[in-house]
Amino acid sequence: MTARPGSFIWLVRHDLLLSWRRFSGRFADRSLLRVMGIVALGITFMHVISGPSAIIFARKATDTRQVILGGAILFILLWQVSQAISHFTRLLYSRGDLDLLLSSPISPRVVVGAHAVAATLEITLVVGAFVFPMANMIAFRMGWSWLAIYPAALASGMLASACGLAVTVGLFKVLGPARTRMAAQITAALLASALILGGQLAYLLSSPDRPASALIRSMPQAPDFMDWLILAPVHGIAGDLGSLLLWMSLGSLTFALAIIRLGPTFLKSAIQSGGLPARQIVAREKPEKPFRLGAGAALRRKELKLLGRDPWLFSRALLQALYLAPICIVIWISQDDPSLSLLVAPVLIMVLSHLAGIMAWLTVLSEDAPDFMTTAPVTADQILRSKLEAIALPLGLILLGPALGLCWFEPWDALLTVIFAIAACVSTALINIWHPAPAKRENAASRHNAPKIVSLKENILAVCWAVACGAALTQEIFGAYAAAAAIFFLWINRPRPLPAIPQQRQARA
Amino acid sequence: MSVSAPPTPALSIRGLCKSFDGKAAVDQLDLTVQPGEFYALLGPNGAGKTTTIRMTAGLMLPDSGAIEVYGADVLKDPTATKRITAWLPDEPALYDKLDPMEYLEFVAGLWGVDPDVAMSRARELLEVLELWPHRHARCEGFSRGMKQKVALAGALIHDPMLLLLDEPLTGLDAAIARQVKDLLTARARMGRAIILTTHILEVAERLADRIGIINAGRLCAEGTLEELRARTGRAGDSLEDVFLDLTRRSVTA
Repeated sequence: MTARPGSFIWLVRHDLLLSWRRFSGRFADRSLLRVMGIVALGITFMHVISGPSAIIFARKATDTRQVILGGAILFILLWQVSQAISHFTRLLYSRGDLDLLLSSPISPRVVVGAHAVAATLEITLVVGAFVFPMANMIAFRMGWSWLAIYPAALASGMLASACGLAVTVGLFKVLGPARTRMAAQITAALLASALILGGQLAYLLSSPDRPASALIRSMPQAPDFMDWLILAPVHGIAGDLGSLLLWMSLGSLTFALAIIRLGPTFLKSAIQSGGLPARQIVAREKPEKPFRLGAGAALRRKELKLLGRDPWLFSRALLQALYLAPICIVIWISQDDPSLSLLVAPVLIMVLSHLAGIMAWLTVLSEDAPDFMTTAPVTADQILRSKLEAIALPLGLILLGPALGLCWFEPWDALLTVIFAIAACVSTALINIWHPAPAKRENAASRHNAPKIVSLKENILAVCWAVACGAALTQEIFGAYAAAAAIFFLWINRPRPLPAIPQQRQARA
Repeated sequence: MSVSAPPTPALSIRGLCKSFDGKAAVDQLDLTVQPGEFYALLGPNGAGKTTTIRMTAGLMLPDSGAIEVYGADVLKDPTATKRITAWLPDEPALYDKLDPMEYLEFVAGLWGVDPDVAMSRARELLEVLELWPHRHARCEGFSRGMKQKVALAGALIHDPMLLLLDEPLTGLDAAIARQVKDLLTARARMGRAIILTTHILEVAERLADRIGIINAGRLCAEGTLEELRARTGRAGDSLEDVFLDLTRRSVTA
């Protein structure tokens, strides 16, 4: 059956096709058979690792199962809302085919509705990649009624899409086009990490007399009817058809309401954000500064300006710090004699090494004008050196504050932290330069989809150096092994043959 | 009586070859452009114009042949030739997050222009190109024409002896195109050599001192418009007629 061109279904199919192309584009070999094979392998793997968890889950008491399900649903919902916010914000600013669709005679509500349906399916599938194998294994052990997780996840996806649309539109109304992107990224990051942060907070506030579970139970309870609504997906998944239908109705109604009520506002926002650059043409008055001399200085200044104006960099650094801080606090308080450096150093090293990696990628690999740089009378080495000097400055400044603070209390620990931080930054920057995955600067958010798994290598190095530093601070020999592992890992990933900055593009004859 | 030596050509290309996947994009190309000359390189799509320009700018290595800019070998001494050359592509190579002044400061720094000289040139160029009121607005909000003008200012800030312009007028409106043409003509009068590829034959007809027609990587005709007309035996014809006739002949030859 073919959908009528311009119809709702036709647009949904178009959006899903683009989503599939984005997904398959992450694989080096994009042939359908190969991609499907990898997907099948991934699904099998997820089923295998879900098996033991499903057995453990099946053995739990009904009450405990409900608590686990409730937590899982809350986690999934927050994750989906976070994804929906990112999706709609990306749509506002990166636009893709939005301009084309808005200029077409298709009804704007159909455009937003189709995008929202595609977003819902996409975020449901992303979550489903982790959740559905577990559901299948539980259903296999406990009965097929547990497959109700599928429609429940779709309903939560619809609810999340509606919330994501509402949050994006709300932020746009309150903050305006210039600030919404950053605010939406931070909101999405906070939501995605909310449950982990909440759990960590409960753990931190707990004591032997008052465990974390008691703390959670002592929190204000929702009214009965709200309780019933909140627990609807839990009961629905556990086999109560009425609750499942209620949850699905809630998802569908909220979704439809959001499209009808917020769709036109979203499109207005899209039009406004599309006109954002035009309004920026109005030049701000600022004093004329004299030009400065030298290619190296010019390169460093240019890179620093571009880094400072990068819309993704700050939120990614913040996200890293948010994810890592609670883990470090837990490690810190678990020590018999916790020192300040043990709290600061590992987080600092992880955040700095991640920043070094992304900055190296932004400056060296996502050069906006590579051809132009090639025509300049400077050597490739000179360009690379200046770019690395440019990223060293902000990294050094970020390191300086905590290092000086540590130096006041624990000078030796401060020195160790600085040494390990430098090693980590150099390692992650080198990994990015040695295994180049060049792309446009605006695609920084998706750079980790590079087929060379640079991200994984970057994270392995960062973890090794953070562990090495933590162990060195507590004077454990394990630190030496971790440092050796990092150096060995870097060595086996050295370039063969030596790379050059990717400057030459395919010729246009 | 002393005989003065012929001036060093601004650009001398000898026996240039470049192929992609075994298909020749540039095939034994010979080309000479003198200082102060405005040279238009014309040809159908895929004729080898852009490849020639990119090899001259040092963006691509030839398979064989020699390219000299004011006597300096592009392959042996690229830094020296780049110092006196500017390349302007059809798609402006700009940094969206920089404003025009920042961009020009960056380019001037790369080419080692004295900061005071660069500052005054930047002002002059931005005023001529009517970009001065927008000098502190980021390029991301500019129209295509404005971006192209900023890129042109960047190409001229170090006062290059040889300007390589690859379809510089593509997508520009009449007013902006006129500004660009005036600026380029003035540069040629100042003794700078300009090589321009274009599909807008009217531009070549009006601006160029000499026209080269390239097809399938080979220079099939070269000369002033009158010389090309004489060659086709179609006096009074437009360049478009001459161009179509010569490219058709080169295919059938």
